[in-house]
Amino acid sequence: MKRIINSLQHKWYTLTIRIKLVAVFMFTCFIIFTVNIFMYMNIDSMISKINQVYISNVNLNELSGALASIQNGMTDYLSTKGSESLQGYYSSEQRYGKLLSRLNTTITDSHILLMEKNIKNMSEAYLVVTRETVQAKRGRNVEKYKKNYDQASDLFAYINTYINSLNNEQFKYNSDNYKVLLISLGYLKTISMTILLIAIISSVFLVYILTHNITSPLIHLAKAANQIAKGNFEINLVEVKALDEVGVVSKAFNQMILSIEAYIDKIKINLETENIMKAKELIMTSHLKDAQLKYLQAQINPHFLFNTLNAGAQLAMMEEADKTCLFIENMADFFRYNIKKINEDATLEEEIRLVDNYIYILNVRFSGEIHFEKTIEEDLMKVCVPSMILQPIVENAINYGIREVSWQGVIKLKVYEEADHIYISIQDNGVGISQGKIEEIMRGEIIEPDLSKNSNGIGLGNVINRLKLYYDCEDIIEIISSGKNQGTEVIIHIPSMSNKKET
Amino acid sequence: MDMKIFNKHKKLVLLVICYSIIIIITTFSIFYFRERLLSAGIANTIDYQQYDKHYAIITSNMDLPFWESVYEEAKIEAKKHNAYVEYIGKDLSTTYDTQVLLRIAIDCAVDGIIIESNESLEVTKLINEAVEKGIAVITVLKDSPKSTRQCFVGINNYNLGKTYGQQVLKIWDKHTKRILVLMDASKQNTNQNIIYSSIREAILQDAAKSKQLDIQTVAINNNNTFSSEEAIRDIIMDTDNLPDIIICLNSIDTRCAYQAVVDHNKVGKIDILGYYNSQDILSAVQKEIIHSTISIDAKQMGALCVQALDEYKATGHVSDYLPVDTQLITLKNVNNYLKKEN
Repeated sequence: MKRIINSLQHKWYTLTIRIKLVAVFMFTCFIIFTVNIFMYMNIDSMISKINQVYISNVNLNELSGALASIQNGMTDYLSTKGSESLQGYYSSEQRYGKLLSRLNTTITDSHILLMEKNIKNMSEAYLVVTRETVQAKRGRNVEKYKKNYDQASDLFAYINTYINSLNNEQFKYNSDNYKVLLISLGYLKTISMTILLIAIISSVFLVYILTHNITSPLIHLAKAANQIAKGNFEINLVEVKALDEVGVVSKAFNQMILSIEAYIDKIKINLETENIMKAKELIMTSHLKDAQLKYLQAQINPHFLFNTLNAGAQLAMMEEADKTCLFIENMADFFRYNIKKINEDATLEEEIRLVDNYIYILNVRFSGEIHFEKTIEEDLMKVCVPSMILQPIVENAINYGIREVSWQGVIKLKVYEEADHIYISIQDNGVGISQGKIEEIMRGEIIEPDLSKNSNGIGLGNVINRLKLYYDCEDIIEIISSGKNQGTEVIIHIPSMSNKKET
Repeated sequence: MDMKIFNKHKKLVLLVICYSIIIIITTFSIFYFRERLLSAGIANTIDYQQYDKHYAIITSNMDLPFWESVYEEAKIEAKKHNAYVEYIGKDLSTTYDTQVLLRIAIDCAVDGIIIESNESLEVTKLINEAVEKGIAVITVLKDSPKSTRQCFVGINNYNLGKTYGQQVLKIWDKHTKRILVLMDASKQNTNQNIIYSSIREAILQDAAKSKQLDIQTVAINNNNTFSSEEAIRDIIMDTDNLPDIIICLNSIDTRCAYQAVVDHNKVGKIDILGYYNSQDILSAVQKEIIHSTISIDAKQMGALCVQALDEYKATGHVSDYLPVDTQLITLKNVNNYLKKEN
């Protein structure tokens, strides 16, 4: 039994939705159709029974009519002696004889049947009389046919009375039957309506169950989809029982959920891997820089350098090479300044002195090609400035401005005070800087100083940044260049309010 | 396990139940209807009993309870002899008189006729015609002596008259003068004549009492439907010539007489000698409105008729006269009859 149910269930699940719908619809239609057919069949049989009920009356009416036609025929013949009336009489007689044969002849205790017997016997007697009458008329026996005619007419009246009485009785009897039939019809109506109602309710219920079967998986799917939209992947997979269209969608949906989960995991892993790699790269770079720094630092051991230079200066003095001694002392001062002032502020005087040193060194290298002119106000010498700001500018002016020029390179340094600002100007007559480059420099986009060139490593960008930070002012420096080969002027304007005497 | 299955497929089970209900109701209603239709007897499947012989009974005044009890008893007796008695003319839409009914009965080719005859010529002729056609004819209560009827079943009219006469003598007191006998106006009623002459004879036997008595007849024209009532009323209204005793020879006259006497407050002044033992006549006897009445054993009459017919059919012979018992009912024994009726 269970197996049958299971196999039926399995069969049901393998049907497509279309087939299911059509099947259920046809089933409900069939049920309602059957109920209707049943109702109609019953009503039909009832009606035919009702028809039968009154057939007896109909037959009696026919009988009465046939009898009347005999009487009329005979009367007609007697009055006219026409041959058609005779024919009419004979045919009526024949018809009546046929109808008579249907009547009952047995003696029973049913009043109705007995009356039929009486009518039959009386009719036969009547027909005898009518025949005699017609014969008499043909034989021209006037007295006889007149007498017979009266007798026949009397008999006719009696038979008619009998037929009418029988008709009434049948009618009463039939009416009782008719009443019973009507009541039965009423019951039939009620029961049929009830059955139809139950059938309809059942059908609606069936359709409801079916559509529920179809829609509930869809609802589950929708709910699951909503859960996934919220990011909750912990939902249970949708249970798939049926193998129809909805089942296919559910299966696909489940597959999708699993795939999405797997895909998200993969992305997570990828991101993590990427992050790890980026972190590694950064560490690498920092290590690299670290190494570079250490390498550089290793190269410049300041005390060693300083001591070495001093020794060299002394040697030069002992050998009475004054220029060499001066040169080496300048170098020592230069480097001493670099080392000493790396974390301190300096005065303007010290800065300018550094510039002097630098120029002297360069002039030795390049055989006096660089001319340096100073115009300074003496009372500004004690102004505090960040260290290492002038020298890099001068360095830039020399390296980029007047290095490759064919004419005499001149660097002018001016320091003057004007309207609460102290101006430090370094001007060269070199190749100039394009406006675009000036803007680049001001924006801080210039490339980090290339340590391979002839520089001490501190670039213009660094100077500008430190100036901006120190004076907390954006407008601390300006670079002017009129154009190609027109020279460049770098002006630093620092507010004189913030200057302080050297502490 | 079953409960689990039920819970799981609750809806399905409900559905199956619904459809089962439909099927059950449908089948049930089919059978119910078959049964109802059959029981209503639509089809003419009622079994009627069949008989060999068909007898007809023809009377006047078919609605009288007297004739009804005669007929019922005749039917019962006939059933024993495998015959059926039909009351010709009853339940017809037209009322026919005896002559027509006899004509009809002859044409119906019945096997035997029981007829309350009259002495008219037409009836006599018809009876003869019936006998000629082989139909046995028995006259009942009223005879047609000139016809070739096989037998007469009736009461002894002579004795009847004698009983009436004796009752008159019993009632007689010195104030009794007029005695009225109500009779049928139709000329040829031999029975009545016998009764009347018998009454006279009985009364005149007591010469002493009968000296002062004046015995008369009143003819009531029975052809008019309500003639009895009218005639009797006239008699009672005629205060100068009120009778002291009224003798009625049929049940209708008896009833009219006692009703009229009651209506006109003549109870005690007019004595009624009546006929038949219906309930109201019996209770009138009990109330002493009617002095006494003669009853005919209707059942015996009915049975005798059928027996006579049958005997004739079987053997070809039957006695010419079969008497039916009569009973005088007075105040003394009226209770017995009342009990019997109940």
